[in-house]
Amino acid sequence: MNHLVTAPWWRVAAAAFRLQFRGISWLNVLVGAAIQPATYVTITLAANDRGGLDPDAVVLGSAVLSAWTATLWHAGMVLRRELWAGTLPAICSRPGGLGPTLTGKAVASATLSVAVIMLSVSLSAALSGHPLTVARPVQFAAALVLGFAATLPLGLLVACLFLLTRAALRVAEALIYPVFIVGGLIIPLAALPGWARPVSSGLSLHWLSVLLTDAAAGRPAGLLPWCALPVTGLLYALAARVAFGRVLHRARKEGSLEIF
Amino acid sequence: MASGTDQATPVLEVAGVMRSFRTRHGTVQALKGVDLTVGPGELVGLLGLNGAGKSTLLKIISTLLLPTAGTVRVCGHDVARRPREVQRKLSLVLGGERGLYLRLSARDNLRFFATLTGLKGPDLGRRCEQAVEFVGLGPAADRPVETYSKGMRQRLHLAIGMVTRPELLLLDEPTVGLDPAEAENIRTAVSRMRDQGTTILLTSHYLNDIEQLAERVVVLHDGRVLHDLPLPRLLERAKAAAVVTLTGRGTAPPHPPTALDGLASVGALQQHATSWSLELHVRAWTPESLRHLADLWPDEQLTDVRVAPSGLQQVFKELADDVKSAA
Repeated sequence: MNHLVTAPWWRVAAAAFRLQFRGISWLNVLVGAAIQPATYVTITLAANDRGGLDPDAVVLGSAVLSAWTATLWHAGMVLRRELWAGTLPAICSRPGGLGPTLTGKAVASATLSVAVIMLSVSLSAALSGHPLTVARPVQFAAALVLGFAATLPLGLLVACLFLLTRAALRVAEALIYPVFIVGGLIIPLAALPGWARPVSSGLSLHWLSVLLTDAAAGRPAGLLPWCALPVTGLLYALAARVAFGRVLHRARKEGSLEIF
Repeated sequence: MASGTDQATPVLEVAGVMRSFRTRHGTVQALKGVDLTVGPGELVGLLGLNGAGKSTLLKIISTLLLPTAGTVRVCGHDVARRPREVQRKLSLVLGGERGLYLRLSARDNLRFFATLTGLKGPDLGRRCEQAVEFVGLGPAADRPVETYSKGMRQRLHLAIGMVTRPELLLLDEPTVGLDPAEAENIRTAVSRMRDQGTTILLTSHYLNDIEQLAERVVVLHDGRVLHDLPLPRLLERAKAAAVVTLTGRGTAPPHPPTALDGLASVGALQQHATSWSLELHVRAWTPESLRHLADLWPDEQLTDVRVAPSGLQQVFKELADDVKSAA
């Protein structure tokens, strides 16, 4: 008798997490999570040499920008890479399913990226003569964990949307820049036109940047960013759930998505 | 291997299955009402020209696609209503080099896909070891898959397909692109799985696979089942028992021997620069047939006579020709 039972969600996600770590492309990690953040930090600190901006805010803004890039290229591309590898039919025809696999792989990808980004940013800031100091480490760590949890669904959402288009690479490139500009991560919101400022409120990355900067500077963060960060993350999670269902529907029922 | 399926319950029941796809150029009807039943332990070959609907049918059975109409049941579970139950009972093995994590080892690949199917703990490790040994990948099981040959990758696909001991194994083109030796390795592994009781539905463009492995052949054409017969009965349908290829010097005979005893039909007559060749399809090939030919052509004209027994290749060619001429 075949006694197989459906594996619990967490076990499949854990297996996917391990698999992603084992098969990691270190070159991708080096370029996306080490060289790029170091370049952002070095350029922005050099451009801010006359001291118009808070150096810690510039460094942390660069880190969050890098996190956005990593979200797009690493977590966002998880499903596309499965498509290119031709593994989707084998995953989707097994009871463990695509959802836990996608989540486990995205978490692995994001964890590694965040760790390398923080290391890269800290090192390059120190080498540029502006070592990062964190006045409130507990608040900083809490913001980091919450920010990770709120930004991961954005990666899952992007991963599903990227499966709907063959132009995923171009879309990823195009999505990087608007967040750079309107996210308030490096360019202060006050420097943006009035109509562009509210856009940042919908970005979890903006609120993460605010919380990290406040923690580094020793300022108590207001209630708004602490609430806005999980709310935006929840909205992304809901959108990701809908997008995931839509992707599977198009693939299975309509047959209009050539992923199998 | 697989056991426990009630002998009275078919492993696979396909009833009136239709499937259409919307494209930019309109709707394409890939399956137009397919009926098929596969019992426990059967190995059924699914044959068809490109576009006949074989892959679509496999995708529906494996829950990747939903049927537009009709029902598919695997071990009694409906693929549309109970996909998880179905997925626990079957395994889909796609041919080709894709579908594997190339940076990882065979063991890593196996463990992951086995976990997706519900294996865990000591059972997971033990079954993975058994699977790599079964397909002969034991010594290479820790090497990255990107260093594997095509044949080794295909054997790994098979190992992934069998690691959970499915009730129903769906094999899509398992020997595609393989050299004869590797293709034979795959056929041997599939044959052993059949002998252990696994129910297998096999598609292949290589009719050798079907002829050597299948007990029953289902021919799909244009989204419908054209024939569903035991292999020997399908072979009996061959109009010719053998194909005789004659080669001669000089100019081709103006009137091929339509009165030859046992002649089923005259095939292609080709004129080359200094020689000609002629295919004769015969119902029976006897020494008398050879003497008759010798009378028709003096020895100095005939340079070669080759006799090839008709196989599934010939049957399929004839079926396809029949379908084309009917259309």
